[in-house]
Amino acid sequence: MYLSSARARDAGLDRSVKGRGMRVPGNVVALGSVSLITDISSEMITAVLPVYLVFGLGVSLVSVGIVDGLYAGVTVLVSLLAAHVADRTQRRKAVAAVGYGLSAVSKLGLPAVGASLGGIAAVIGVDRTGKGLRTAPRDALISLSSPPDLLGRSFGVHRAMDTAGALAGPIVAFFVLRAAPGAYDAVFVVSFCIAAMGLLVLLAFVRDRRDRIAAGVDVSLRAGLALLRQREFRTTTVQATLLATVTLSDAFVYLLLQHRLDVPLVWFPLLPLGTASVYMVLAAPVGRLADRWGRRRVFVAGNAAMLAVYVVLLAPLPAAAVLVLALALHGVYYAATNGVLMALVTPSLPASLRTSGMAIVQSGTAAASFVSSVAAGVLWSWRGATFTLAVFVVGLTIALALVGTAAVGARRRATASA
Amino acid sequence: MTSLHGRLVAVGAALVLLLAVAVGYVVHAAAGGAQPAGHGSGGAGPATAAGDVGAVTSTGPFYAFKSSRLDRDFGRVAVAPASDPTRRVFTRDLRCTRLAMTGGRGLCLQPAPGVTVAIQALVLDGNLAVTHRLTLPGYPSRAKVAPDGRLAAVTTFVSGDSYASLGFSTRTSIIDASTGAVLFDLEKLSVTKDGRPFHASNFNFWGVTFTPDSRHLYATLGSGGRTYLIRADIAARTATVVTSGVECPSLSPDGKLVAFKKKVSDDPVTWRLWILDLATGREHATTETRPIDDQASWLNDRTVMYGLATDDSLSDGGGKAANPSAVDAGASVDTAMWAVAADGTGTPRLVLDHAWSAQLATTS
Repeated sequence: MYLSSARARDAGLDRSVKGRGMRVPGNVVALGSVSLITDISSEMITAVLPVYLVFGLGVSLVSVGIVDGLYAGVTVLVSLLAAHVADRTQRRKAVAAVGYGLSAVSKLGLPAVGASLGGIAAVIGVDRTGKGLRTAPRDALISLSSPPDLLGRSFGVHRAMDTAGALAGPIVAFFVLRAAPGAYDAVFVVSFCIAAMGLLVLLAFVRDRRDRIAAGVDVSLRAGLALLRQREFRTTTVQATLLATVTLSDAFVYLLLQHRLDVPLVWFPLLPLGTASVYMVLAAPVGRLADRWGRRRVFVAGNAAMLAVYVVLLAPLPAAAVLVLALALHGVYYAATNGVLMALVTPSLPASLRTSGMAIVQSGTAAASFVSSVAAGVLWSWRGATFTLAVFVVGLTIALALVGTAAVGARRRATASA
Repeated sequence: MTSLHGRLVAVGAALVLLLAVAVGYVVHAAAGGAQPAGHGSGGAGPATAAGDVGAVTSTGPFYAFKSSRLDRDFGRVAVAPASDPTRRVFTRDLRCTRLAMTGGRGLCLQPAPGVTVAIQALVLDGNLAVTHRLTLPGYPSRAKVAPDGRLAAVTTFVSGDSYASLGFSTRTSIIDASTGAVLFDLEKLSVTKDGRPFHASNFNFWGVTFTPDSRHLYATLGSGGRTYLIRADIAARTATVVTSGVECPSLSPDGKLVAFKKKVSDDPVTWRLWILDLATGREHATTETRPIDDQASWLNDRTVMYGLATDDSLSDGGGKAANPSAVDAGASVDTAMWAVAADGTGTPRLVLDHAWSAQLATTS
């Protein structure tokens, strides 16, 4: 790896980390706490929303599903614009706070709009906009707060905390509904209170990273997009997007598992917990491994773990082995890709455009995931589960081969120029 | 910015305040801010003593239903003679969110205890004693027993069984009532539409009704926002699409008419009770103009019975009136059973107050 000017500038930014202390910066832990709290709040809603919509209101979920798809596009646009504003004003914390605030307010919107489909669509829209606003500024703050050789670990710790919140959310919702059966409004109010706590922790304990933009440094929208002209960043973005296109979304992985096992549908809602537990435990250590062994390598290995998930789903193994292996590998995939990708792109992004760069990568992979879901849905309807899986095996193998070849080529170029 | 200590104190105080609001709201809701909680709890007064169910079931036609009066008996199954519906006799401790009773067999759905979303389906004999128990995933939705009592059908709502991001689908299983085993799920049917194979991964089946000979069934097939009425051959596991726009069909005893939910509005979702004549393919409205969400049953070849919420809190706008289907999942809502003529004439009349999921059963 080479030391870019951005990396040089980052070095020694955070004074709370000295020498080889190997401690994750306090600001990262603060951001992790905000994410943990916020995810409890949002996953509470995710857990009860389908039930609330159907039993509480009688809304057809087909219509909600369509609305949901439409927002995918809007979120991409919002996140790119928000990232630009965050870079231009150097107020990343403020932009993130608006995002967290919008999502918090949307929790109270749900009981307020009742069964009106337009109202529900608007509330979900506000929540998604909030998520779109906050993600890139938050990741930019993590990267700017962390010394360069700890980036992988910092993102890992953040993702582990984030996932811990996601695991706790449904449990909190379960206990609220147990205490007050059928009282969905209680779930929404508790969710709002927790989201407000997250916002407070952000405002009080997260330090913004505001650098004076040096004269002559361009932070326009065009400059943001011009990041893609830089070889290293472009390569990573293209590769991550390509891999996301041939990666099955969570819903499909669980559906395939259920299809393959064909029995314990009662336990179906618990499948994501298997993935999340492994992800939570491995995120930090795998991030640390990425710092030492190479972030690109770990990122590619993570995608190979996804390929292994497909193979396990196709392999003639006992049901229990399929279940355990598939969920464990799925967790490894997340631990080795989600935060690691952000750590991987950080060195190629100047601090002044850090948020925009991260939003570009995230938007690229989000759009690719959307394409992947639509394609998987079409394939599944057309030829069924096994065929869909086979197509994705071929697709991911080709993508990994391309990425591998590119990596070898890059290394050769680096050696030649040295 | 103030000192770290100052911030800690201020944020700590705010967090305690938010926590108090959250806990306070849950406590308020749990204390019956609106309605008694869950089935089988809440309400005032002692539960009614169990009566001699056999005395009612052995003497002639009777109603079997779930009591929905908001008291200690809420959710308990009771029977009443057809000649005197007000004389209700309670079972000892059978509690259901949804009940079916035909041909000397019954089916009772209740939420299963535990951390997963699952139901218990109890197969009952003619005296409402439990003969078999099954655990199935999802929330209780619909139950039906074939006229000869040999087969039963269960529909549950399952979340996460679909690739849509807010996936929520139905699952319908056919049960052999004599053994209590699941024979097959309707998803395994090969469906034809207009003479061609018809299949998609987003197929959902719900609301089964059996033909008088118990060899065929009708059910709703939902796919991509549309609903179809299918007729299936149970032995062959094949089905054909009969028509569209028919939900929760219920076949008349002579097998000629189908009472069904017809969607008349999408926002809020509203259904009305309609009748389809299978011979002519014509459909018409009944004189029941209130929104319904129930799978109807028949009192005779000319009269349909269905449930409606009587709870005021469910009819104060917001589209909630359209959805007492929460009742089938276990929500505490008071309901009543009504009947109306199938030919589109007459006016609806009250059959059973404080009752849900009622069927007129005959002595086996």
